[in-house]
Amino acid sequence: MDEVSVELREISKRFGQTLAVDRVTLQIYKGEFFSLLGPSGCGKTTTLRIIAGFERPTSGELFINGRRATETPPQERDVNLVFQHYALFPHLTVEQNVAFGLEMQKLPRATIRERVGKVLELVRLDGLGSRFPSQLSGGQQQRVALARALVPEPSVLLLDEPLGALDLKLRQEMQLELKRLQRELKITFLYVTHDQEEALKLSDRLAVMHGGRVLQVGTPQEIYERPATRFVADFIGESNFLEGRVVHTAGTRAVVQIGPLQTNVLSDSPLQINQPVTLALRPERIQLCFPDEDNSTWTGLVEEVLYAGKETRYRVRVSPEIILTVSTPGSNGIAVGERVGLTWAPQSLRLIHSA
Amino acid sequence: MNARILLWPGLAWLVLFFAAPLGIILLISFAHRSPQGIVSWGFNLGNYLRLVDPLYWTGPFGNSLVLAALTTIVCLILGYPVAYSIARRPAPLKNLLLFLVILPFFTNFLVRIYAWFILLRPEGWIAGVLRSVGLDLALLGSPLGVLIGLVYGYLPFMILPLYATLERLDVTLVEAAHDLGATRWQSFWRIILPLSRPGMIAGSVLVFIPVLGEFITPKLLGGGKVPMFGVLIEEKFLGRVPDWPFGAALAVTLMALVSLVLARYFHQVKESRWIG
Repeated sequence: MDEVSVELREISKRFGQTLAVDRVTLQIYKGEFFSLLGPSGCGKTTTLRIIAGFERPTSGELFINGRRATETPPQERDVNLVFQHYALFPHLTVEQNVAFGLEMQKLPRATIRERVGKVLELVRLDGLGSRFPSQLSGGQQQRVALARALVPEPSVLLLDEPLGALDLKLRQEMQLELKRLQRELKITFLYVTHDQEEALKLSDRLAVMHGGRVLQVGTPQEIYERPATRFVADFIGESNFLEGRVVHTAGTRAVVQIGPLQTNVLSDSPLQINQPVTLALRPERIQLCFPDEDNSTWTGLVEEVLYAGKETRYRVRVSPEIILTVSTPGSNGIAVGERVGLTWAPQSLRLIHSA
Repeated sequence: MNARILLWPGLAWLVLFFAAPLGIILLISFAHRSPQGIVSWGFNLGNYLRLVDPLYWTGPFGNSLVLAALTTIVCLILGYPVAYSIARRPAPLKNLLLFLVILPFFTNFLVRIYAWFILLRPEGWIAGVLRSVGLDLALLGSPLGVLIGLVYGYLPFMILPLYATLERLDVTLVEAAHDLGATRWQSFWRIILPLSRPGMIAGSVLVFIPVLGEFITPKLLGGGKVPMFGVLIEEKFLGRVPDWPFGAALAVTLMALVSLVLARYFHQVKESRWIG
């Protein structure tokens, strides 16, 4: 997994006054499913378009398979893009759409026919080859787009929110399909999405982007469990944020004062007394218990209960200024106005860099 | 209010000024010529039978068909790059350029064709420049002169529908073609050109049909030496030796020809099933 497939070095892209991509440096390994995740306007699509060759970076260098590709025109790059709205050629049939890339390579007819047939089978579209794109459902069009980009056997497949236009059920189905394809073909997938759940589910590694910058790169576990910034902690999943001050330290352990409350924190780096810190706590990592139980960390008053089937969400006021959101699986009969105790494992409380 | 009421004013107008005159023309085309050249009512097919004369087909009809076809082709070749280029400009510039394309319409067509009459004269500067490079071409009073005038007059009708389709053309399709390895030339031939077919057909229809019936341009720039369908019709009604029934038969025949072209056009549009 150590061979680098795509490398971005300090890539920036400016459109007039706005810096769409700000000094992005990334290494994507061969055979990896890598996602660029971020809200709309974060620069992820521009980054993808730079890799595809549709945009030239204002500064920085791009390498594809170890070769400098910053100025290489798109038709000469060993990458193919699955467009957000598929960009299928409306005047060509499914077969002709898929064959397009191979025809550009001037391959013999028999070879083209064979490879088109094979890839249509791979994406489960065999039998629909003579249809026009307008005669297909959204999910089928998506598969054609995938087949068309896969058939020239690029070393990197770029996907720009490919499932964005599909409804939930179909999207979940296609997610599994994409994962299967990527495993079978062992091609590098570079996937752009704003859907954090999708990115966590599919990716081997992902980069979280915001304001044109990469905030954090890591495996889904690393990103979810150890978010580096407040934005990441908030954007990936959900977090309660607590602002406090360090009042006591002992090695990697520290005690943080948050308003009238105190809590223990584990830190990777040494903390100083009186240092202001931000803590992030996932709603699903908090357990509710009886307020007089020994292990209860804090106690609070339930102000709101929202039952949502697989989970129940509570708003618990733990001090005049602090409300925590808590999520528990199923329903456990706690009602508004009840006093509850709140507990969590020390490692669930994440120290966030104030950025 | 019943929405059908909204139909009546327009419908009445069409019946009064389009359908009724058309019916009259049709009736006249079967009538006899009176000694004064006007109408002596009756029914005969003689006016249409005269059209069988090959002299008309090699002469005015042939000229009209060939010139209409040539005008369409030249307009297509000249208009396509213009429309494509305008469609790819940023919005404010695009609107300005489009305005420039329709700007000539602010002046009367007759006046503009008369301007060409002056430009194309043997003593005009265009002929002078051509002579100085050794080309002694008869412009005025030749099919070439008429063609120049027709292309000038009808080019905007080609550019506008072409622009409309090219402007709507999804640029990501071109990007997709490049992404799949197509050069600029390949993406043009394989993607842009086929997708702009509706615009090419619409533009061709808008040029071909009116040129088929044109009479001002051939009359002024052809100087009577380039007989065309429209000129002949005009002469039969307003010329020195009028023959209304024959003129009417000519007009009806022209309309039949035009309808044929239009039927072909609608068939083409229907065939493009991937649209919509």
